Amino acid sequence: MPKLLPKSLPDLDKEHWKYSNVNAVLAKLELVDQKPLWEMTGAFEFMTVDQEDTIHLIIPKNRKVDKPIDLKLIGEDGKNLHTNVVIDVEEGANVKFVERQVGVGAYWKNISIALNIDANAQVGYYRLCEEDPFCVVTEFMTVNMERDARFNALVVNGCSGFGRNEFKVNLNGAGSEADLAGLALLRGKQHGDTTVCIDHIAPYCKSSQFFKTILEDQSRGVYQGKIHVYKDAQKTDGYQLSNNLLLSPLAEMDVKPELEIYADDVKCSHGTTTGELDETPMFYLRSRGLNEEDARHMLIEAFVGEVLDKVSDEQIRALFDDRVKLWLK
Amino acid sequence: MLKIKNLTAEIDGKQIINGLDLEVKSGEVHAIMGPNGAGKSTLSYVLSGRDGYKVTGGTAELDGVDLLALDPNERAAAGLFLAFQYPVEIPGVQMTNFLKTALNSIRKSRGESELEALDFLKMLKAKQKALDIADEMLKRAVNVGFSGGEKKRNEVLQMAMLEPKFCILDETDSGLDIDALKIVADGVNRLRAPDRSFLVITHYQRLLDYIVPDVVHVLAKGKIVKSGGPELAKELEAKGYAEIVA
Ligand SMILES: Nc1ncnc2c1ncn2[C@@H]1O[C@H](COP(=O)(O)OP(=O)(O)O)[C@@H](O)[C@H]1O
Ligand SMILES: [Mg+2]
Repeated sequence: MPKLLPKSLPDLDKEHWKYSNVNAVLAKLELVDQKPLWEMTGAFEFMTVDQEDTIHLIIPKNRKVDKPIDLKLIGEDGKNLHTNVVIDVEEGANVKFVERQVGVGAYWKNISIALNIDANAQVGYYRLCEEDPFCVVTEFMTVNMERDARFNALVVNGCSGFGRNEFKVNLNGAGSEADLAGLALLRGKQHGDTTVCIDHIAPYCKSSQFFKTILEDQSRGVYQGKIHVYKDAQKTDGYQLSNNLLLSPLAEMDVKPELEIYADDVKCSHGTTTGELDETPMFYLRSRGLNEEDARHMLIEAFVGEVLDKVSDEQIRALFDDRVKLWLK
Repeated sequence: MLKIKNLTAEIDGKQIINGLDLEVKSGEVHAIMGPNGAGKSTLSYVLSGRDGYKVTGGTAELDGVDLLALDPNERAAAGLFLAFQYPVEIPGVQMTNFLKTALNSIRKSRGESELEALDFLKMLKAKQKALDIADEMLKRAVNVGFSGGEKKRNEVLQMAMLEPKFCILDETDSGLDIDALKIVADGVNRLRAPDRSFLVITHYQRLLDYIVPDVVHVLAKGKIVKSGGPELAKELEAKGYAEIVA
């Protein structure tokens, strides 16, 4: 697993990084390296750390882990944190992770997670953040999925000053299914980039991307989503939807949906909308007695709720609800 | 109750309501009939304060309150209710939550306390039953996936819950078969009261067999061109609009 170094972060001339000038942002910060200290609850029995400080979690074959494993990384002012985590979920195992990103001050977290989901194993991955509006967070997650593996992810982002969240999912085994959803909540001058690439390598796989952004003030959101269907990946079912809500005339959203298809028997769909709150439901609610603020609130909560409904676990759902309520004030 | 005098209004600079006069007294039911494009829905939106519908002259008062000076929610609090011609779908907002928020918003602006959850549910149960609305429908998002009939019944349910004093029904009968029409009409008739009035907008005389109006008006080109008793509706049905409007 190659370590992600600051030097290796690409420039804007890379198509993939076109909308997110991370180097320019980092150039403004003076940071010193710090060893990242993850606080992991419920992970102890699964964990090893190698000489390179890469954290390794192995969930053994057919093991069902009842309580979600909590992964928390704290950012500190003036620090660079580069961290590598490798998670192997062995055949038939079943596990959920709650990743929490917190911190205070101006720092850079550069997180690389490799998640390998073996045949018939199931993983739920939930990311919450309560970062500092001055920090920079780049997170890159590679997911390798074998035959009949299941991956469900939900991420709520957008508290960092500059955030980039990237998923690369490789559907290597036939019948594997990946369901990714996310919410970016941006205000002030925040920049939030969600970049997803799903490679349908094997046949009979299914993938779904459902991402929403709410933008206030002068914030800027980016969503790049790609479905890449290989020649042999017949019967692929790929879905992608990006809905974005602009609550300020100065906010900006860049959306780039991409389909690259080499197989001939596939079902792929994508759609994207970016706009203000609709006048019609707004008027409907107000005609029923809700004042403007309450009506806006109700519509924004509904917009967000459609994504949060992806979480079936009630306790995890409650964490997300709290987080979102905090943002909505 | 409702007094409209010489009302004029425009959309996008185009005048649609052209000096409309109308007075509806307490406890009365008035019907407004008229050809497509006459301005019936426009009148209902102007009265309920929709953005983009600009009043350029005249007055509209509800029990002496100047409606035109109020925000849409303030009009609702003042007792105005519009049953939409095309009820609006709101994905992600659950029916029960919507009804409860609406009711409590109105109560709050009237200086009343919010309703306890249990009292609210009791009230809802009683009203939904009368309108043949299943519990399952109230678990869904507002109007999402509702059939035409369900949407119209849902409008009447909201009306029954909010207990307004002036109700505008904009083509609540359109697209309903006779059974669905009866349920809706019964729902409306149950709400008839000495201190509550109705403005029933319809394209078809049929509805007025079930909701019998005190007065029937014909609206054409943005103003009322003829008024009469229930027999006027029958005459319209027989002769068509052309003769009366001309
Ligand atoms: N949003 C709008 N923008 C421009 N013109 C409109 C709009 N809504 C209605 N109109 C016009 O106003 C007139 C009256 O429409 P409407 O009130 O819907 O009629 P009715 O309900 O009587 O069928 C029509 O000529 C229609 O084309
Ligand atoms: Mg109409």
